[in-house]
Amino acid sequence: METAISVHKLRKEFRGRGKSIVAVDDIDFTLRRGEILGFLGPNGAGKTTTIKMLCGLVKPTSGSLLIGGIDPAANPRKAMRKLGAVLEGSRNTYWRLTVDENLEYFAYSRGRVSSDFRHRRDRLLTTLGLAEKRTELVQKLSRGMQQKVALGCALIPDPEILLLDEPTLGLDLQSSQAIQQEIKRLADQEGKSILLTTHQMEIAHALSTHVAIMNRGRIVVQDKVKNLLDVFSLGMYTIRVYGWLPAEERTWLEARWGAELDHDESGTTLRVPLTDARQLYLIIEILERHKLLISNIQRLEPNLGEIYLKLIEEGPVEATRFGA
Amino acid sequence: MKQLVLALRAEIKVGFAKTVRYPVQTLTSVLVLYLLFVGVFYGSRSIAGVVNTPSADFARSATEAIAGYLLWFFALIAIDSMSQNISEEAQTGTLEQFYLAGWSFPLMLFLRFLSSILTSLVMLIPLLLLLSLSTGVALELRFVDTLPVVGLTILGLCGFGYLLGAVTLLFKRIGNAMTLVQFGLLFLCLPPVEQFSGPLKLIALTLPLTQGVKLLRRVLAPGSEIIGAGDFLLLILNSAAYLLVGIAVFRWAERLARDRGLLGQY
Ligand SMILES: Nc1ncnc2c1ncn2[C@@H]1O[C@H](COP(=O)(O)OP(=O)(O)OP(=O)(O)O)[C@@H](O)[C@H]1O
Ligand SMILES: [Mg+2]
Repeated sequence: METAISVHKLRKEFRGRGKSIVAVDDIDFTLRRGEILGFLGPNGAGKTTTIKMLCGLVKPTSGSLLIGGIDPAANPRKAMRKLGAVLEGSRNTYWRLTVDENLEYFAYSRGRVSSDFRHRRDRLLTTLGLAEKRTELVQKLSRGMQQKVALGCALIPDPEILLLDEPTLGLDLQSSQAIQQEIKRLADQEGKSILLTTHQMEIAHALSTHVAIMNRGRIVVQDKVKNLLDVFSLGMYTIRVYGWLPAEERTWLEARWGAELDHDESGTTLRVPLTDARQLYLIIEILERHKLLISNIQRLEPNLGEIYLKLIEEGPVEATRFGA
Repeated sequence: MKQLVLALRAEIKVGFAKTVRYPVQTLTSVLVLYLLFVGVFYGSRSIAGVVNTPSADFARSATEAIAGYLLWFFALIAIDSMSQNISEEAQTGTLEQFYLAGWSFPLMLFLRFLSSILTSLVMLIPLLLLLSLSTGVALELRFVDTLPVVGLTILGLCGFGYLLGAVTLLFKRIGNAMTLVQFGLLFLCLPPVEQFSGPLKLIALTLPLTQGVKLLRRVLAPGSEIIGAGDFLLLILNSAAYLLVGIAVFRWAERLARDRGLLGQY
């Protein structure tokens, strides 16, 4: 199974009292095995609606979706067995039961109990750091622990695909990091395919192999995180040298290269956008000609957060050139 | 099939865990149910000006009341597990996970209902004992005769549960309305249906309980008569109708809820 999720022309229109909202507007995307797809977008972009359509909780208006190659409309049970989900803003677990009872319930109710169930449960409790809390009521646990239990409940039936809708929402740094580590481990070591939504860009940046950015029901861009970073880094370099360039050289650099130059008492800082590494050598040549010693060259890495904001502000038209 | 048994096991285990975890709540329920019976039964008798001395007549009407009460108890379970429970889970955000198990939704609810019936025996047995002790009526449970009647009635109640469940899916917060339904049913199924007249009789006759209550009374009454095939057939028809209509309406509501995004929180 290569593609975990594939979505084609998926659309959801909510109709109600005269007006209708297009929550998801003919989107296409794929999640491949072992990937973590960061599913990003501002409030109301349509992320949760998409996830709910994947789990069968919301009926698509049109379009198709396949879960592990299976059409859930035709074969819901088989498709659902491949899915585990932690949904946004929900408890996802029974608070009046203990951690153990929850895990057992979710394994049994999905009919996923094998002879090594106990062993698997214990291992899961240990990796999630819940071993000591197993006999406590979920109600009495901290928010972070509760979220771990929710993750555990999604994992206990051993699904191939995980849908995580804001899994770190409202968690403190420590709990958030623990969940993040677990998500990373699940993809890297267990080969799970994960769809993850979050508003925390550092988290998306740290975890995702791929991103799909959604805005107003549409996917603005979908690509590998690495490609996006490359495209957007556009080779912005800062070069710091000891000494100063003559005025005509400065104006030429500014006019020809779009460079920005700052000088102070100890030297000059050049900020120059380069599309190609050879151009860097040309600049270095100029600097050498004037016997300016280079003290530092740095390529500025953009982060996912900046790219995200840029794409959301510029909208899909501008962004399609990066489209996958 | 094996997976279905596992799922049922999961529901039963959870049901028992909750009953045992909150013993005070369970005991209170038994007590409230007991007091309610006493209040309604003796209350209505004293309004009617009947003397409550041990007699054949008293034993007969107490037995009849208990039979009605027993089936009403199962109606409570149906309303609770198939409607109030959905509403609660939708609000706390577990309904989605329940749904994600991937069984057909009506089937999942049936499992839950079945497990609620089984777990409710923890309450039902002491309740019946209390009722029997305090009225001085020795209930002969004669399972061979009572089980088919109770079983069929429960199936009809299940259909009734689907109907209410459908309403709950679409309107979510319906706690008060359901409490009203529960008590409405109680007043319609404690007195013998023959005592009603006019529209009330019509309502009583179309309820999922009426036929079952009527037959159960006959079975349990001292010196009981054999139930005729016609009466039995009527019970089967009544329950089957409720079940079929209930499932159909529930499926329709489920489709609508999925279309409007009402399953779970929004
Ligand atoms: N059941 C519903 N009925 C009507 N409109 C809905 C329903 N669910 C979602 N919407 C609307 O669809 C749009 C997309 O909502 P959705 O919850 O999918 O966004 P989101 O990307 O998850 O946002 P957030 O980041 O705030 O969670 C919103 O305009 C929302 O109001
Ligand atoms: Mg959302």
